[in-house]
Amino acid sequence: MREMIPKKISKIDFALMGPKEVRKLSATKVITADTYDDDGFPIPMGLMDLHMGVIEPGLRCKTSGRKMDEDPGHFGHIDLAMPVIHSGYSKTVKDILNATHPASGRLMLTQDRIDHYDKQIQALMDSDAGTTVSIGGIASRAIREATKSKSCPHCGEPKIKVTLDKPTTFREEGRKLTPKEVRSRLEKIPNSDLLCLGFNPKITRPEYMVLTVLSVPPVPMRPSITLESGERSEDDLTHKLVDVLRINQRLRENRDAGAPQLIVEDLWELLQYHITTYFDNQTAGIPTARHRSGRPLKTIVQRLKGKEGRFRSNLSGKRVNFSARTVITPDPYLSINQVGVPELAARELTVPVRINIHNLSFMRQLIKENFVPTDPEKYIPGINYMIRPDGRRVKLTDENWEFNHDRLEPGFIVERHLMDGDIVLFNRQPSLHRMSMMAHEVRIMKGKTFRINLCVCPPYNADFDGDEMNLHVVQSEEARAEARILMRVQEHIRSPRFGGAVIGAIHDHITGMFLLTHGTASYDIDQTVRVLSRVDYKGELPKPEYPKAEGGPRWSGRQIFSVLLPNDMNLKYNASVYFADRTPEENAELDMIVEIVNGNMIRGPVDGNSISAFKGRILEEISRLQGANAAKDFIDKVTRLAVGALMETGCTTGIDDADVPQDALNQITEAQIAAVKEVDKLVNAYNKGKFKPRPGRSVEETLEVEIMGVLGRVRDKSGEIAGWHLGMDNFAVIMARSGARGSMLNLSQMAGSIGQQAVRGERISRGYERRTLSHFNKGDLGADAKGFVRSSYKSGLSPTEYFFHSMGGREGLVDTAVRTSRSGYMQRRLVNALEDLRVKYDYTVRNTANTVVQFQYGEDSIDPTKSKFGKAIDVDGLIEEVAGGK
Amino acid sequence: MNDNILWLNKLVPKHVLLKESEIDGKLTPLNITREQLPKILLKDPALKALDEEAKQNDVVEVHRFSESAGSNIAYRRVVEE
Ligand SMILES: [Mg+2]
Ligand SMILES: [Zn+2]
Repeated sequence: MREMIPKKISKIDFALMGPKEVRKLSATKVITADTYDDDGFPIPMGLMDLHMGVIEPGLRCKTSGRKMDEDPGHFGHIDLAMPVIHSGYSKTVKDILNATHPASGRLMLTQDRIDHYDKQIQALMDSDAGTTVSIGGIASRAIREATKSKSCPHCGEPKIKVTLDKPTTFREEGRKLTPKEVRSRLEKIPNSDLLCLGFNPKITRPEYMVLTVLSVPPVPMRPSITLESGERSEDDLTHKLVDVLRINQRLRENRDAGAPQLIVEDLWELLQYHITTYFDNQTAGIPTARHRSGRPLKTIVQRLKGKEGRFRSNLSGKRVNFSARTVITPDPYLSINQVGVPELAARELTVPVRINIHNLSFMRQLIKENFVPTDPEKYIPGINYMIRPDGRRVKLTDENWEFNHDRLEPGFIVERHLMDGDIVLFNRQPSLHRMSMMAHEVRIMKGKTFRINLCVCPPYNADFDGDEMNLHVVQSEEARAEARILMRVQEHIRSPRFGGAVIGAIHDHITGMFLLTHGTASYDIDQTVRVLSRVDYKGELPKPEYPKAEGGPRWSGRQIFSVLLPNDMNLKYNASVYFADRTPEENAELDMIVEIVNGNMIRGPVDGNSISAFKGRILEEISRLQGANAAKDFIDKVTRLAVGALMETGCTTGIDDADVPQDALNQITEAQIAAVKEVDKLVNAYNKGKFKPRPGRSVEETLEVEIMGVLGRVRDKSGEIAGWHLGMDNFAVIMARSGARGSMLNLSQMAGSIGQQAVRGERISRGYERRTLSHFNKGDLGADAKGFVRSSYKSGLSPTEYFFHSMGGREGLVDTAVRTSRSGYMQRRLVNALEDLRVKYDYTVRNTANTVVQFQYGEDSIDPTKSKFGKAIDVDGLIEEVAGGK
Repeated sequence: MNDNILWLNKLVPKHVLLKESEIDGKLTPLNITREQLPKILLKDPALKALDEEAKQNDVVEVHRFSESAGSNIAYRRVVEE
């Protein structure tokens, strides 16, 4: 189809096609339901008539003379024996029947009102500009007004209401209206009334909604396929059209032979059914048409509608070349902006490289490597295809590679396999924000998985329980440059949403750094050098903090970490392990306050508040002031340092991390007993009617609030008791307090008590009559009967506790499932509304029509990525810097 | 601004109907034509609460509180529908 389109389209009108136009458009009339003759040749005037296009090689279209694949085909038509309602318009037909007077066909509005609406619609049609009011909207208002009138203002006769039995049966006072009657009523409507009804009489007429001719789609739109057995299998649309033709034929014969009215009506209705399902096989109110196998037929609407439909699947969703997908696995020795690509994938994915005098000899070498590898073990990119300056693609083969190797010269383009340093786009679905697709640099690796640094897991929301990700090789020079400048991982460390880092150290990196730097942790020269070598540190060792230590000089972890800090950094803040319930002095004593002076860490541990995403102060400072690359290097080095530290110290957790001494457990039990007693007391007071409601609440509500309060306090108390015995020598505690993983609440639930279970924010109340489970008395409002779990995860739950806990857990699962689907659709609508807004060079935000949406981007034209949590200027930081910290 | 109860609501920004002679002076420096402005319906309560009677194709200046910049000025073209 390499023809030129001879005309330029200036305007498109959408309107209903009438029988005349359908016939004019038709290449042939279809009269027989047969498709092919015994020789497999299309039968003339059958559904596969050669006038409607060709689907077999060798044959030529009888309309245009074109061959298969060159011919989009041509429509045909079927003359219907009796008219049939178009099911898609039955509602419109009903509205129009109700708005017009059957005898005269006049719209039941006074001429004044008709003129009023005409004027509005005419004005809209005359104006070229787009607008939010539609002709349809005005027409439906006119129709609504006409429907309300009790009698026809033109002849004074009372109106009779027409009802619609979905999908296509019309009734007037219980009597069925045949499509023929409907059509003749619509025909009567004078042209002068049509504009008001939303029809442009120059183009279309309402009676076109009742079909007398059916358009038959071209054969290439419904090609038959030949099965392996040689049997031909027809498209669903063809099947449906066969049905239509058969019934149409029988209907005509019966009618012409003067068959009883009943038989003709039955056939007529059957024809209606087939045409309705031909358009939409999921029409409400009628059975779906099925294949012999029982599979529902896929007719026109089914082809277009929904996720798998033509629009969402084929037009909006496109499949691409130069992409790969496989499982992801972690590798902390990769930089955050790298991705490990398996050799197998790298040999399939190619980059087009334009040959110039600088890369000519390298590319020749690659061609040679492809056919006579010097080292089969080593990955060296190869070249399979080259494109000559005249545009011809040449596949390099064992026979021709030497010839092509020699004639390669500037101007050629070769398709080179992926190699280290290539830029690719990496993506994980669902792609909910821009960090779901970032550019990475390729590292070719053994194995069959994509490898990524763990710090980029949060933006992709990836983990390694079998997640797969997609990789796209960017093809053009412009695209590669754009990806490098805009899309690389380091360009996304700071979030446009709130102006802080979204990529930072996670999990083990935080534990590792804490273990390296906390308290008086120190390392001998071997350890220090080992750890520092992980970050490729090339400078002198700092002066040891403990030069006189037993067994030689020792360096503190803070000194080792300080190697990563810029020299002009001055910071003071509370560490993540800071005890909020103790005084600053006590915390200082416990080394919970971080202080950095001139790039040297002088006290405090490195934990979540220093290096994690969102909270990490050092990361925040570096990413904002030193730029994306410095932040990337910092994160990479923290990763390596943390792994190094963990190799020196080790970190493990197990069930014994939730061990608490017996008397602590006794204390918890006592507290619980006391609390349960208090609850009983409240319940007793309530039962005796002595309970006083709080303002604005009923007695029951007040009781619930009070009980929840008591039980909440005892949970906190048992957590406190357990926590008191879980010290910083406990790795689970270190992980929780440093912000690596888990929380103290998780720990106290493992060691102490799980606490109250809730469904819909209330104590558990559903179940049997007046009680949750048959283990309790009816009307029992006590703690145990309503979902209070005394046990800990470690000690295990009683059967009733376990049941309540499962109820609470179920709610959580349901909530997440509901939330994701709902927020997904919300996001879709939001994105569709905002996708083509753009910040112009004058800082206005405009849409594609160039109208202003916001006069100044964000009202302050600040790029939030470069701000400090939304503020353009870090006033505190500046004062500190100028005034010298103290 | 008059003492219409509408203006007492802190979420309703100040609206000023521009005189025809002022409009070019405001829009030209911004390099925005009147057709490129966002629209405001003639029946908008804020327009009805003004002292002056707005008409099709007038321009109103809206003074809003801004979370990020303190205050912000926007312009809107009056449309009938
Ligand atoms: Mg997963
Ligand atoms: Zn053709």
